[in-house]
Amino acid sequence: MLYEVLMIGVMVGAIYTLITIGYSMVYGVLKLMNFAHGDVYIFGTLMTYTLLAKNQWHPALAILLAAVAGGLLAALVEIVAYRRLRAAQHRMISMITALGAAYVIQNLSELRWGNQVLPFPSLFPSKQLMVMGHAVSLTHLVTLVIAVGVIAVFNIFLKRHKMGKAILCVSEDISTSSLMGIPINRTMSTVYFLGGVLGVIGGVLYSSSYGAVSLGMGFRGTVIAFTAAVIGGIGSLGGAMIGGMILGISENIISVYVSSTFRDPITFLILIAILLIKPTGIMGKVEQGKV
Amino acid sequence: MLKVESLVAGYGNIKVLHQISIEVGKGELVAVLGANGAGKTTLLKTISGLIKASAGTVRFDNADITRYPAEKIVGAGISHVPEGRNVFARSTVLVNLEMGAFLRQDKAGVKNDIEKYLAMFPILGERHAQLAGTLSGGEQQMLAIARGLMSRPKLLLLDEPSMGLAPFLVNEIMKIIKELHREGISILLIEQNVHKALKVTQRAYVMELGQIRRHGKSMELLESDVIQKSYLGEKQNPKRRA
Repeated sequence: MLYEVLMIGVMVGAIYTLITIGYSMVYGVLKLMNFAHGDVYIFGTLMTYTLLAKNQWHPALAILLAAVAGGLLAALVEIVAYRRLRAAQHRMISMITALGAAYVIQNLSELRWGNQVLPFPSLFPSKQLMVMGHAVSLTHLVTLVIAVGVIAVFNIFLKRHKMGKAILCVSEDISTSSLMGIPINRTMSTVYFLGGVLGVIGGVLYSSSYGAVSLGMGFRGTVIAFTAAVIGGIGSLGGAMIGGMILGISENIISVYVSSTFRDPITFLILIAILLIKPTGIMGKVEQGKV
Repeated sequence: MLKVESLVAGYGNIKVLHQISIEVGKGELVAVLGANGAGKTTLLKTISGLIKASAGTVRFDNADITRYPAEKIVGAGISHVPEGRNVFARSTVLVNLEMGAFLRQDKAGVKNDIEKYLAMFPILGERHAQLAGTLSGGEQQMLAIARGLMSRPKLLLLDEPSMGLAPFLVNEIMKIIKELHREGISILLIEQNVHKALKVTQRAYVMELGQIRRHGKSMELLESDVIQKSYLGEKQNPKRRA
């Protein structure tokens, strides 16, 4: 029993990591909460639902298209709601436009898909495998492998690709980065785009393993991304992974052994406990004050 | 090469630069001197596009670059090594150098240049895989200069490269600046270390409260009364007191 709970916990943790990366990276480069993050990923997930359930697309093609659409929508949010306000005196201003963008996307999604719970088709055959003497659902295993694979590819992109390295530099120091000739606007849109793509992939994996999708899951996605990012240390990829895993595993343990009613309260208790011990999150670095 | 005319700039409503005009010729090594708060850093930031000018022009190689964004100014051939070094502390020495060449497409050339600067600054060669944040102040300054050179600039803007360094390191940095100048790069050097700066440069401007108060040949300024009194202290010249 515990084995299965842990297995599902790790899978959910990997999915949460995917959803958290985009949110955390945006905070890294812009030092801003991306309120629209959850609404973008649920838009992409709902779009995948339509392509799969109504139009009978091939899953890979449907996910690819929806992920790119989600990425472009996220980049659009950056261009419309943030770019012109980056120099604004108060961060509150762009927080408000972000909230506005979140509501616009949410309401447009509601017009198209409504707010009821829709049955999400399963992407993988429901088979049980025997792994080291334990029954493991194929769906869970494949979902985990895909999620970890996407995270690994993204990690390689950040470490090896010129744009990935530039993203890390921009998140450290915007003006010095622009002195290097790094195009700041394009970097910001790229971060939003990638965050949207990863978020949609995470959303689709989540919905397919639970067999359901609904508009309301968007807001919960934002909350999860926020919590996981803060627990792990906001702005860092390692932090997103640790935060996502802690949330995924603890949620499942609490739901099974305590009660699902206490899932969210206990999750937030964990958040508070970690912040009391390490206010910057587990992997968080202290921001050095600059004159 | 660089021609700044009647430049006005500042932060929000606060004007820091009041009608600044300076020039750097091809192959010249020029200093801008002045006390803290004179506006020297603001001047460099306006030239490199980090701050938008509210009036006046910056011309470089006969092109008006006043309204260019910072990343386009690097492309035009001006490289700004910022005050306080500002290396990317969480990236390796190697990545810092690569980022300096962000706009360059010639991969082989970039690789060659990285090797060239790692050889020119052996301590960076030894530590190329280390995070830049783990380097000492002097090493970070060398990295910042090497990173600034990676874009193959025609003009290098150096903002107080000797700040916070031990005296023997200051001499080391000044030697590097002279060496780069000998290689043909034009340099605009901002310094608080007036004596050292006047010794290595050919011409100098003296800034006060956002205006150019004096300019002339560095050797002449070094001898002059005003500089002696304001920046070098009278003690250094007991003859004049007598």
